[in-house]
Amino acid sequence: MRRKVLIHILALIALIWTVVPIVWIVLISLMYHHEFASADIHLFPHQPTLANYVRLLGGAAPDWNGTAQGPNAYGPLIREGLLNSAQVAVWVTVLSMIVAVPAAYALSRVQMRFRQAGLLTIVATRSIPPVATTIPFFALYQGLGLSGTKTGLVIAHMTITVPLLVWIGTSFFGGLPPGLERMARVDGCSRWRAFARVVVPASRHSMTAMAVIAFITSWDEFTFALIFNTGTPAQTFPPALSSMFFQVSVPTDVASATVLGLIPPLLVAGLFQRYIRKVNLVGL
Amino acid sequence: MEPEVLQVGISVESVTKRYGKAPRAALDDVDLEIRPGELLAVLGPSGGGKSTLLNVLAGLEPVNSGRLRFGDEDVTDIPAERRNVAVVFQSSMLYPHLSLRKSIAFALTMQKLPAEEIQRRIDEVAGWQRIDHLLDRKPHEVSGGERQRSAVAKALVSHPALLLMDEPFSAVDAQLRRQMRTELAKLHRQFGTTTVFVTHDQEEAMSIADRVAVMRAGKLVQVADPLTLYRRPASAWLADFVSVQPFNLIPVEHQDGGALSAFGGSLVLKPPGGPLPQRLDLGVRPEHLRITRSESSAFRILTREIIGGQVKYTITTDRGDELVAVRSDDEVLDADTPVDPAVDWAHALAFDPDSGDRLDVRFNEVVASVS
Ligand SMILES: Nc1ncnc2c1ncn2[C@@H]1O[C@H](COP(=O)(O)OP(=O)(O)OP(=O)(O)O)[C@@H](O)[C@H]1O
Ligand SMILES: [Mg+2]
Repeated sequence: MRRKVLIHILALIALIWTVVPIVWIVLISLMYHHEFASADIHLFPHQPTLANYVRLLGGAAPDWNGTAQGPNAYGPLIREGLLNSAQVAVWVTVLSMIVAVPAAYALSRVQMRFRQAGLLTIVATRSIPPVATTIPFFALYQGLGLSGTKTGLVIAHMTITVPLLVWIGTSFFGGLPPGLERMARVDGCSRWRAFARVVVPASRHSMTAMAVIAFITSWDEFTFALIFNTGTPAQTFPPALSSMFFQVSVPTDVASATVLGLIPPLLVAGLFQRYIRKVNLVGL
Repeated sequence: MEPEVLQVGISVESVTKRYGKAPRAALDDVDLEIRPGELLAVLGPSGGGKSTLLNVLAGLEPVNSGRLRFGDEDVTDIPAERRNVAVVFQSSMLYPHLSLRKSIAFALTMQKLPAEEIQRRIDEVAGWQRIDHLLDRKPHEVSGGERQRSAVAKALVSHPALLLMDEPFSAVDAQLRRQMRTELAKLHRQFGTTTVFVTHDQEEAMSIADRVAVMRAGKLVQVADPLTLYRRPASAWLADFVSVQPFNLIPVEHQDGGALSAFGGSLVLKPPGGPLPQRLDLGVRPEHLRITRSESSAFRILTREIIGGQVKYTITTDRGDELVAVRSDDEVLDADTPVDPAVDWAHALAFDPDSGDRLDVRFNEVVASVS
């Protein structure tokens, strides 16, 4: 009983810790700059407005006192960034799944030599900070003409997501009942069919979770995006936001851009949360 | 019910199976003839190769050498999906993500049978296994026993040529186990599908099987009907293994005048019949060791256990030698009672003390030889 109370209190603290900054940013994004910059510091907007969003998305909206205001100059940058991020994240998700799912499956279910060593090597690549690999990547990308392209960024992101998904997937597939494929085999499936008809459907929740993780990882990725694509037409949302942040001194505008960038991952996580919740994350 | 009986004999010819570079073969030159329609139990201690034999029969593991035949057909190189076998595995006998109905129908769907035929077959097996009302649930939504019955239904629905079961009842409690064992025997009588049933429970094997194949360390030790196995086990190890109660193995030596002396002379036995080898191990089941009250005996009762209508006594000498005897509970003897053990010679067995092989000795008749 006492333990339960403690767990609830800890969960509440964690919730406040994660949610408060987001709520705060949302509240700021709903304020006029005039209100935000006034001497009277407060949390909830007295005069809530969507003007910051409208102007960021290319529309015109009057200021707090009715003065006309045109579209936000950084609107195109942010919109392009969102679009690029979405494209990159979708490609990263699809390609990472295509590579990582069979790899994770093989590592967890097929008898092979050096399985543990292989898995450890894959996991170990995760401990290398992306900054460490950017210079070789940069040199390579210059030579291949991949610098400043979405393709290049997709490949760079996959160096993060594939090992991550292989690692997670190995534990997911390892949790399937041991005789599953054998049962499918005697029921008339070839090895490949047993995978496609039984293993995949039986682990659809886990695989959804893997895809969501890939999407969010790519969406959030900053280092590669910053170094390869800043200032190019292929710039994704995180560097776009960062340059806006450094060049504009209007926190309410930055806040609304930030919130726009939060929407896609929240949407993805929300849409699939009923699957993710069924996934047993113990042992990860 | 009118099952479409498909009775196939199976022959396993000098099959050897080795996993990777393991020093010991999991199946070591196994020869086994499974008769059409027979219920064969495969019995043996853990690691003996029972599951391996099953997987090899199912086509889930390739063999290193030897041939497998189903009827006249050589299936050695035919993969699992085309062998027409059904397997009830020890664990996960149903698909966790499918309803029982879909699990049971899965093999039929793979065979692309028409929907009405699938429906008809499911209704049929669900009726036999009394799971009609559960068909739309997932495996984790039914009890262990119901899951077990569904697994058997799933195995039977495809009318397999060979039904393989790997310790199918190990996950259910003792009482249910006994009940399902009887149901399986009944079902087998109705169906007549050639069945191989793996278990490490000798009682289970001996009670329902037409024949029992005992495996140990990758080798087939003996294949025989349960009574033969019980009466004429090939070795002392086997006699002990198939015995429900502890088996008495008494090293004896000849004395003058044909008597046998055991335990340093604490026990002197006088078997009827002719010459015996100089040394032998005498095998006596507890039910064939009679004990009677006798003040002069070197044996005393150490413990007694009452087992439904019978009493099991452990008797001991001062030296610590122990024997086990079972008698009816007409008269229950107390601990410390001095008793005299006597052997029921008609059922006594003799084993070679070195190899453990059974010697062809009949104590109540005149006797054969030893090497
Ligand atoms: N997949 C495998 N890889 C390597 N060795 C294996 C494999 N499966 C079984 N073995 C080995 O083969 C031998 C026989 O194993 P098997 O599973 O057939 O025994 P079993 O009689 O079924 O035992 P149990 O009663 O414990 O199920 C054992 O020594 C085991 O360690
Ligand atoms: Mg086994």
